[in-house]
Amino acid sequence: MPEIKDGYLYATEKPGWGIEIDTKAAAKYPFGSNERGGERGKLNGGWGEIRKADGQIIKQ
Amino acid sequence: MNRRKLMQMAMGALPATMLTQRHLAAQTQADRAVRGLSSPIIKDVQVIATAPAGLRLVVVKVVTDQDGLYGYGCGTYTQRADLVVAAVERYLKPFLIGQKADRIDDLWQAMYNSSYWRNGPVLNNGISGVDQALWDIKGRMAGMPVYQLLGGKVREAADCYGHASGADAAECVANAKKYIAEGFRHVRVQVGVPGMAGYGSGRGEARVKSLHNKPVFEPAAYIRRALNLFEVCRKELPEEIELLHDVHERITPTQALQFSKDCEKFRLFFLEDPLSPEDIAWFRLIRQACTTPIAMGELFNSPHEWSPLIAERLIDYIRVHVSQAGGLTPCRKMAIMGEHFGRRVAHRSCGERGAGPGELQLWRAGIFAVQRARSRGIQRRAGDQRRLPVCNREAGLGH
Repeated sequence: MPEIKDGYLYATEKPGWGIEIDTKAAAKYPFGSNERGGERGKLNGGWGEIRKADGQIIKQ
Repeated sequence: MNRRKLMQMAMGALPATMLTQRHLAAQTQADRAVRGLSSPIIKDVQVIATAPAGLRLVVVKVVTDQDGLYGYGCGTYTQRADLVVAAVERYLKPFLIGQKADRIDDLWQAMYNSSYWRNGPVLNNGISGVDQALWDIKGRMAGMPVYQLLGGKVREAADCYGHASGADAAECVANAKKYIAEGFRHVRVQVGVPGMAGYGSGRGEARVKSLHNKPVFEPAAYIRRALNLFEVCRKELPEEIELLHDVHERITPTQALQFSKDCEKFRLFFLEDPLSPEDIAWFRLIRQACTTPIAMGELFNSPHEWSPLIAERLIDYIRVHVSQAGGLTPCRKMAIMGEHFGRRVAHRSCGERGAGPGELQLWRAGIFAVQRARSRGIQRRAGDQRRLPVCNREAGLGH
């Protein structure tokens, strides 16, 4: 992980982005497997809706 | 006789062996400098789709024909993640196989134009995944972090904010103090409004009366609550602490104008997204009405959105989501444009929850943080609200 110390973020000194990805670990969490329920689940991960008291949708 | 002909004659007059040796020596030196690598050719493009903390991440891996040389890039658009996967696998991958991986800008332009209609969020994220992977590859080839490829450090580290929220002002202040105790000089303060679905904070148990059963929000109540929060923060927190706040659209343009004026006395570090992208013409009025610094850009996908705001100096911080803009290549150019117009960069984190050190990095370091968040998000606990943000006080790359 990038280091945050005293509120400062320090850059990697490794080549490129300095990261590697554990694809086996990533494969354990397919989309939808680990999400909180409710609106987002029904929307396949999408943004939900918020309305004013009278029922009007607002941008959010 | 022109200069070229003169040179040709002079060269011709030199002993052939001497010329050859000099050429050989130069070639040997060049080979040593690039470690004998020729242009890597893209052999495969893979998509890693994973949601380790409930957040849908899309990572693109570009593999080259050179043994062990590959790179990772971020193409995360959580709300339409499946479509980014398809954009990469079905459209970009067939085009990219066989191309030279070191021609980043050229490939970016080709990908950008390949859909004819462009600047959309799905396609931009697909391009970003590839683009950032190509920068990773170049960095690995050079044996350098990406920030070195962009010109090197211009600061020692990037100042960050902590996202301090609470159901009420007291809880928010208590959380802000925790960040301050950790050493943060900036906190983004968000307070819940009882019974309403506020941004970046809890909403409480009961809900306000409404004519429907969906989440409910009333702008006027939020604005009163937010102004009260700033007043409490200015009383309770040390005066040198910088306060940030995110409106997250939600209010009308005239409310945004009034709110920006009312925020002036609280000396915010920046007020974020007071307007929707559809209403950006109103920034001209806000700019004329008050000195509250304005940050904007999370929802931007197109240079048509950010360029006028930078060129007319209508915002103080451009705050795009790197992958939504199409990767490091366009964001590098955006930062350079910002520098020319005295605007600053404060990129957003890729993950709204959990991804943490998302991005910022970019400008002090090269973009690496974006992917970092994505890939290492696996190890991060959900709900870690530290964001990187902040800002370059001086605009431009590396900030």
